Amino acid sequence: MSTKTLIAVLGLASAVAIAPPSYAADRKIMPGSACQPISETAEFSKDLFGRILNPSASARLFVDCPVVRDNTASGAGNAVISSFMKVFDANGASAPNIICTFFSEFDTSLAVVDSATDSTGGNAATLSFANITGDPNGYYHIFCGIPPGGNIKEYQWDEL
Amino acid sequence: MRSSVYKRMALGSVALIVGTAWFFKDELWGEPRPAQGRGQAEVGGGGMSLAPPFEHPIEVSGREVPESAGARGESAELAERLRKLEAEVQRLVRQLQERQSQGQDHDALPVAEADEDNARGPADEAEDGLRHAQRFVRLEQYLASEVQSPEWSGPAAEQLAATIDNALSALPPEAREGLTRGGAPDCRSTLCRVEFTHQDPEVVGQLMREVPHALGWQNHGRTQVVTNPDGTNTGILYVSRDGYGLPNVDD
Repeated sequence: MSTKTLIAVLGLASAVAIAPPSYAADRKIMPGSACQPISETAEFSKDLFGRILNPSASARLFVDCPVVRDNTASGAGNAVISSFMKVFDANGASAPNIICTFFSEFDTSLAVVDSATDSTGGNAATLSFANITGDPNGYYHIFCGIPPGGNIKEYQWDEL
Repeated sequence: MRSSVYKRMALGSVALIVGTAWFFKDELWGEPRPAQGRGQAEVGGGGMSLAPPFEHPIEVSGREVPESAGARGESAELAERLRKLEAEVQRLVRQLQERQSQGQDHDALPVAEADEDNARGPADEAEDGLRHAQRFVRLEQYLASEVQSPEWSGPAAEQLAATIDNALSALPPEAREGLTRGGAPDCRSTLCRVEFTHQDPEVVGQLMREVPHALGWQNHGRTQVVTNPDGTNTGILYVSRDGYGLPNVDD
């Protein structure tokens, strides 16, 4: 093998070695304290564990949780492969439950690109949302209703 | 001499990358990975009651969207819905063409240096709107191909109607006034459809978000807002049955 050929082969090998896997999922995790009440007068608290809690004895707390995206290339299905939310529902399996909806929004239109809703059926629960379609210039957020005594500890999502 | 080696390396790298991409084409551009059904979700110690996994995964390979709803002989109402959506698609196509031609005119102007690759113009937005409207045509066609489920359609439509009543009662009186419902919820075997019309698109948008959230079952939803010739706005909401995804209507 000539020197030139050897250099070319080594160059190719290095090009392959440094190429990142293009299909790797991109997971991001946020504390529940990143969620914000949608009403300025809502009763809520955040604690040293990074949770957002509903301290009210009777009122449901509505919060919206930002979901950062960094893949704006995937316009079709499965832009968000999966998303999970770790929550605590003080009522256990009884109603009212914590209900959360993952919304994929357009940048301008008021239509919803895609949404997924899940709710708790026990005390400590993981809500899950899967296969969300995205708009190339749109954004994501999770809207939740937390009954009294409940909290959101963290949430995470995997982008394509 | 050295430049010759570099050229060979560059050409070889391109050939290898193309070959590798071809070899892994199924993984890169083939069918998406299987849906992570909600029933497979990790449970956080509390014994969460789990719904069954998606019986129809979200990439519903067996749920082909029919080419033509009219050919299947469904009701005149469904044909009318399709006609309206197809008219919306045509409107968006015209809008897209106009904006693309405007974009071509703008090509003659100096281009800003910053972030040229990521710049998205009106034509891109029109294209996104068109893509979404086309998804809705396919959803309408899919709904038309479904039969009513005796055990689910009725109770689901009732629950949906009750949820809508609750959402409407929470609206301010001025927003409730002038809101028209497009008939009773239409639930088939895995899919429900609801329609509202209001002068204010924000009211329509709010209902489209509140209803699937408060519905009381795990669901996937999509909405479309169409501006009518009289200036009113019609919102169309599709929600899936508990434990099901929406049919694959993406490009």
